Amino acid sequence: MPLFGGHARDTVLLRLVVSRLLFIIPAGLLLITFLFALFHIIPGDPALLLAGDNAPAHIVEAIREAYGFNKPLPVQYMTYMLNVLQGDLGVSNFSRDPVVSLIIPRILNTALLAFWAMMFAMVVSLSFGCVSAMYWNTGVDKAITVVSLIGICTPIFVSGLLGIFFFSVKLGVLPTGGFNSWQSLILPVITLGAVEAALLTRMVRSTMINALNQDYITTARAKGVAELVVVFKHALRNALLPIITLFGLGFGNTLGGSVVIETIFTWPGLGRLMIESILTRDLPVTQGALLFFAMTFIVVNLIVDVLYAYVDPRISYD
Amino acid sequence: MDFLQLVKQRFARDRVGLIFAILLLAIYLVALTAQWIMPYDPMKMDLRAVFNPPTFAHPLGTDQFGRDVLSRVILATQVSARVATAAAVIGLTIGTALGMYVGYVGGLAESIVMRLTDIMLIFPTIMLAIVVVTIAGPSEWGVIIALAVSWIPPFVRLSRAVTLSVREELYVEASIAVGSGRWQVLRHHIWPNISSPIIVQGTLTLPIVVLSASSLSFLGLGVQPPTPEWGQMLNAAKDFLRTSPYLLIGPGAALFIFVLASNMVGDALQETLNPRLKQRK
Amino acid sequence: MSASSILRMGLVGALMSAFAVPALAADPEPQYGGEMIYAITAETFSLFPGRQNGSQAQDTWLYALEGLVEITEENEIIPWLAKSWSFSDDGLKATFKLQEGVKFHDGTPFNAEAVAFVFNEALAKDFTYSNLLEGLQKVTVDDEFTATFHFEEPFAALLPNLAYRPMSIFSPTAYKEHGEEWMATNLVGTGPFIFEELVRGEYVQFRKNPDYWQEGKPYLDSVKIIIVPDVSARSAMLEAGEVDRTTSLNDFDVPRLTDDPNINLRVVNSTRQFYVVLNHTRYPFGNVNVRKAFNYAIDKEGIVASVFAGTGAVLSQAPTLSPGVVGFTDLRAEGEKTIFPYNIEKAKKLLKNAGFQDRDGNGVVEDPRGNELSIGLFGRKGATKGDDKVAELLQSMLGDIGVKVEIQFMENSAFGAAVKLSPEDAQYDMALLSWGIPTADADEPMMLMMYTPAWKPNGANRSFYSSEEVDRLTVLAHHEVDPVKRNEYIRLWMDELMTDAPVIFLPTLAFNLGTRSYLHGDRILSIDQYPARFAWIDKQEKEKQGINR
Repeated sequence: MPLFGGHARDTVLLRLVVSRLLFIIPAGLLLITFLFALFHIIPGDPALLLAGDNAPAHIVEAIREAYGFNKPLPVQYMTYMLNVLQGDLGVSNFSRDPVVSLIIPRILNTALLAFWAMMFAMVVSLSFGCVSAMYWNTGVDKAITVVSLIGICTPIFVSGLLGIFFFSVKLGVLPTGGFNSWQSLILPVITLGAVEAALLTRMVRSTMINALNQDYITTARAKGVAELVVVFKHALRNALLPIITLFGLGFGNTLGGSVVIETIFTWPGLGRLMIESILTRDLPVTQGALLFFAMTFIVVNLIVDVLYAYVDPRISYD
Repeated sequence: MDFLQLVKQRFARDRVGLIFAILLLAIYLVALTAQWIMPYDPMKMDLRAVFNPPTFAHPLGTDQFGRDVLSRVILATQVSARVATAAAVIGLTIGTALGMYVGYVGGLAESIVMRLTDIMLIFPTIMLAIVVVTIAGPSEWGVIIALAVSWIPPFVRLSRAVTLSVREELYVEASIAVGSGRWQVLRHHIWPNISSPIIVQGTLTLPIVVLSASSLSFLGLGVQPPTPEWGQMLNAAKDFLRTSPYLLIGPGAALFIFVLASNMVGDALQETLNPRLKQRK
Repeated sequence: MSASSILRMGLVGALMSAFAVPALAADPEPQYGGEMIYAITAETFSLFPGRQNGSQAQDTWLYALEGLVEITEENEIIPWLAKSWSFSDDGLKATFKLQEGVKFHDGTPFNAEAVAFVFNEALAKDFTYSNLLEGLQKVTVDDEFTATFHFEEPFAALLPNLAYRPMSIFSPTAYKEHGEEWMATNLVGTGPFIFEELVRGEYVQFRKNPDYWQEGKPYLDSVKIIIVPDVSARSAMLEAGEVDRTTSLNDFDVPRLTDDPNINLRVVNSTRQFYVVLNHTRYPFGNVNVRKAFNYAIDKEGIVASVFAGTGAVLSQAPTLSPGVVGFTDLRAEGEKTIFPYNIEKAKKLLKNAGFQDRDGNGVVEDPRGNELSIGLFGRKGATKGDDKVAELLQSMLGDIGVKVEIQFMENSAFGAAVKLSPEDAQYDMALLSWGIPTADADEPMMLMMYTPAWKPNGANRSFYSSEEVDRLTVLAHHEVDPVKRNEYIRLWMDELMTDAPVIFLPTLAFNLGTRSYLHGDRILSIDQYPARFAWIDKQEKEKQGINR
């Protein structure tokens, strides 16, 4: 039974999925090699961080011995590579916890944040973008445009800080940070989502305007089709392709913005873990974090590509 | 050039767009003349006059070290404009050249470059920037390199796409048939078609680059003190939100205006390039 | 009764009640129960005291680990897990009698064997703090609750060093069974709280130890230490009541928080002094006039006012040592507020004596051959409060005497690597650091900071400063058990530092601690420790403030 409406179509889509999946492996290996090389060029010694500023050399050496920092480089590299291929991402230089166990809870938190932020952004941008396009050049459109512009041009950390200031400290209705309850989600999600919503609203607007100006729309209107139907059934359907692409890109932005948001709101997510691990030269954790980020993005890309292909009537059967 | 004429026409009609274009130019003017227009030495400290709220003598107040905030905002304008523009231009130049070349030549080179581009596009700008800055060290050049590198891929993609579509054009094929060399074709046929979308994309890149640079400063990885930069000044101001909130005004407004103006100008240019807005009935 | 006598009685009555009320308020009865949430600035990378010595780690260990002795607010050493001690006549042995009936959290008994094991292991495995045990040969077990420390030579600072938090006693059984790596994420000690859980980068959770050896303690049911690196976030959480306690608040927020009736704010002068390492192997720091000039060029009051809001730091009264540290004496000149008081003219004159003058009027001094004096300063951010701002100020202030300073900010591990190099490899002209004295005894900085054998990469003498007289005095003080004679040696040592000006001496930090007013019984120590083991929560007060967790 064909999945997507035709055996040939299935094959095309399947090929797409497989090629994307195959892409992940060399990309990942390249990434790990790149990072490994990088960190060993930079000055910085994790053993020192553990020993503290005032420790004598023989103590730093003892730490280096205890944690295996003094093996020759190629040996360290090969061991790591082999482990990764077996699914073992090593242990943190400091806590000796397996990197995977450090990352999994964090990535779930970031995913939660990013997911809800994107949901917020998509709902807001679709509704306001369509409204804006429908009432193109009127007061409503201008108002929405102005608000979106303000959203785009305000740095994320400024809106975050102001949010904390008003809602947590002054009004006391929302927590200032951390992740203790569902209320903890509200401020970070809205702050993160708002920027993306603003960006996407403008893009949805222009895409929809484009779609609404096509000839077949004029035809449909002339035929007497209701306006709402025109907008949502015809225009939106055709604008769906570029909009899906936009949302896919938007997710990347959201992940990037999550790093800053996690810092402001002390959110226990992957972005904050990554920055801290870079600053402390905890190479295994950094590599693991970047790997997971990359994979998340590739997976989202894959979903977007598949959705795109599914919706695209131009995918042919030959 | 055709495009330039269109742009002139456009701004003649579009008052709002024109205002923003002038605003953007004004910011660049401030950036260029910073050394002459600053009322005080932006680095001069006066530890007996710290955290003074705005007064006539110091319209934006003084900061933690008694330095005049207005002068620092002006210098920061120069720094931020320089960083953002340099990063955008470098990314644009390298990306476009690369995209044009592989788009035209195709083959193995194209595959490799496009694969690499795809890999790089995976990472959000800020993550790539963080890693690069960590190696290069937090500094102005570190930020410029980091941001330039993260902006090469989009330009590669764009210029390759345009190159591909132009390459199929008849006059190009004719030109090749006549025996024009690779460079001639690139210069005479491909480039004129690419220049406008690239410029538009470049202008649209500016606001994002500036925001990325200020985010990097917020994380402590950007331009280092005592050199002022908008994001860095905002980062310093954030710890004094309750006691001296006026510190946010100068850098916040400057950043906002630059991002807004470049966004609007970029939009106007884009609409000029792709006139798809017809008058509604 | 006459009007005046009524008035007088009323006055007396008023006076009496004024005295009575504070007395009543001073000793409320501790209540049992509740959880304290405490926000700290940074992650504890390893919970194993043998391999980590950061102050956040020490603050965390306090709940589950204990040492033989402890240090009080007055910097006195009091018995803790050791009931009493005595020294042999030749000063080569110190015998400790231990508390009885104490158990580790894993149920194994605390005894002399455990103590001996910990310290002998420290020597054998070169624990991070082994340099503070310089001269210790071994620890022997006399009987079940008596252990003796054996030295090569008399060790004057043994007791303060034993109070150093990393020298806590952990369970040898757990250590032998699970190994050092496991101990990095598990605390097994004798303390009033039992370690429950560690979530990387987020929190450490403790619960009450029902079998704690001190009767009736602790009061709290549990303690949760959360990690909040951002200073604005910490104060927001305290003000919103999301945490009960937090350290390292922004000095500029201190006045506002002090006024908040729901918050109790304490500020304590610490033993941590900022200083600038001057690399003596680099030109022009071999010249004492240059070093002194740099000292006089710094407006220390300006630093305290602008970076630390006037309250977050105090002017230093002696080189390296602070009030409360054993061996400290006030070395300020008559009528002056700090050592090397700010004096631009004097600084310029000293520079001139060293041959540096601004000959071409461009604001930068040159040497006799016309080369500009340009110096690099290594700095970092966030390791100690204000460190980046102080570096900026140094650049500006040295600029005022015509010295061009270029700051190179590095992040923590790069900075750490850069300042641990030997004189041949060291790349810095100057580096901004701070020196805290965790033992509140001069032995630590004497042995590690100014001593010739302590030149990096060995100890922590990053200036590569060497003075025979200073070395001589250091050794004498290390072995001198008579406190009066010892103080004299330390005093002479400080005098040498004033004459030689090996580094730039800067203000001393004052640490702050903010707590919700319903939290009682917690303390702040000048050695950057914030014990709250025996804290308790006033439940009614907490409810009144609207905190429901």
